[in-house]
Amino acid sequence: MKLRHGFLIWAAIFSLAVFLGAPLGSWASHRWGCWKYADYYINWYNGGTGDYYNIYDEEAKTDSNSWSPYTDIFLNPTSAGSTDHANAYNGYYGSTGWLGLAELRSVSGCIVKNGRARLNQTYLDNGSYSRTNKKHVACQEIGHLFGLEHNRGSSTTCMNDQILTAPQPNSHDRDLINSIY
Amino acid sequence: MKIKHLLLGTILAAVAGLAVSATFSWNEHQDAEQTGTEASCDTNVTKGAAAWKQVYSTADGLIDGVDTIVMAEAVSILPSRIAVSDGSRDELPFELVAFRVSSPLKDASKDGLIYVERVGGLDSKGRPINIDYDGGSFAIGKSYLLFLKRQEDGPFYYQVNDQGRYDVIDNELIPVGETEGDEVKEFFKSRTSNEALEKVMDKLKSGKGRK
Repeated sequence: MKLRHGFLIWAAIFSLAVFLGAPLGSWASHRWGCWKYADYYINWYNGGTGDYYNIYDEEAKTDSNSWSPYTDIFLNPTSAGSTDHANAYNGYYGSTGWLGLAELRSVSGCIVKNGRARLNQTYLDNGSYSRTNKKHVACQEIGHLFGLEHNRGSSTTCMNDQILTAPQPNSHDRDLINSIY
Repeated sequence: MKIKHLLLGTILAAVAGLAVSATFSWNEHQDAEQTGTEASCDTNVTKGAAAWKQVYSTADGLIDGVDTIVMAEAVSILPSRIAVSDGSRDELPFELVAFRVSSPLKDASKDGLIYVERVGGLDSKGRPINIDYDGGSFAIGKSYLLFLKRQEDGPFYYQVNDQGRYDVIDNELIPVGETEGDEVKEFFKSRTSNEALEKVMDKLKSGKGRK
């Protein structure tokens, strides 16, 4: 084989590697700003009521592919608080346009001390939403608290805000969380 | 050229290509971190993200899906209700933003007042909640293009989602929240107010406001 042919092959390989490598770097775009808890050990207060308590617990800790066992994050069940805490609630918040809301309070630089997830029963309990839908929203709000942004590029993650049928993080979320913490 | 050299060159080319990708990705990551750091320096803002009830894939869908579309100026902000979570373990304050309509595009009257309720204001202990899930607090005296829905359980409007608000700055529309890959925000982004009004009116007249 001539050297020229070798260069052509190498140029093609180089271009292909750049092309294929680009999606691998897209993880950065699904990060929510630079916000994160101080470390992977986060105090977890489940203030949910009724089945929402179970939904939050399943999405945070007890489902095999939920945030705590599936990623490097460790959730320490405790009472409500504002120091390294993720707090979860549900309520009839009214016609607000949102099914769930994640709120990061007490942000110092990039570090979050107090996050709150809320599920809006005004919509979620109106008969239009299945338990899977509710789990999807709960999973998404918890994911926001840990520092993830929406991800419309995949139908297998709860971080996709255009669907309600994927009540779990996917491997992309896991890798991103593990790179943050 | 020997096979050994060819293989070695191939591996080097692949590694170099991946390295270039990684460099670009790292730069993007650093930019994101930098942006976040700067944004979070504003300690008066509570960061927020919502799972919206309705997200639209096209501008037509948005225009058709909302009850009211207006270009309007924020004229006042008043405290509204404080919602309490089930079990009374948490509370969430709301505020009412009054807008004077300058351009009624769908189901509104010129110079009329409309009231939009959003999360914000003071909780029962007087602590301010200034949350940016929908683009953040409105500024009195500033103009916005708004896509609104009527509350099913109240007399006010709510912003349909973060696709439903465009800040008018120097006669240019600025979307709020994530823009990348959002066809609706891309449609309105950087248009002049007049351009946007014409586009919306055209779509309403042609009946193209379909999902």
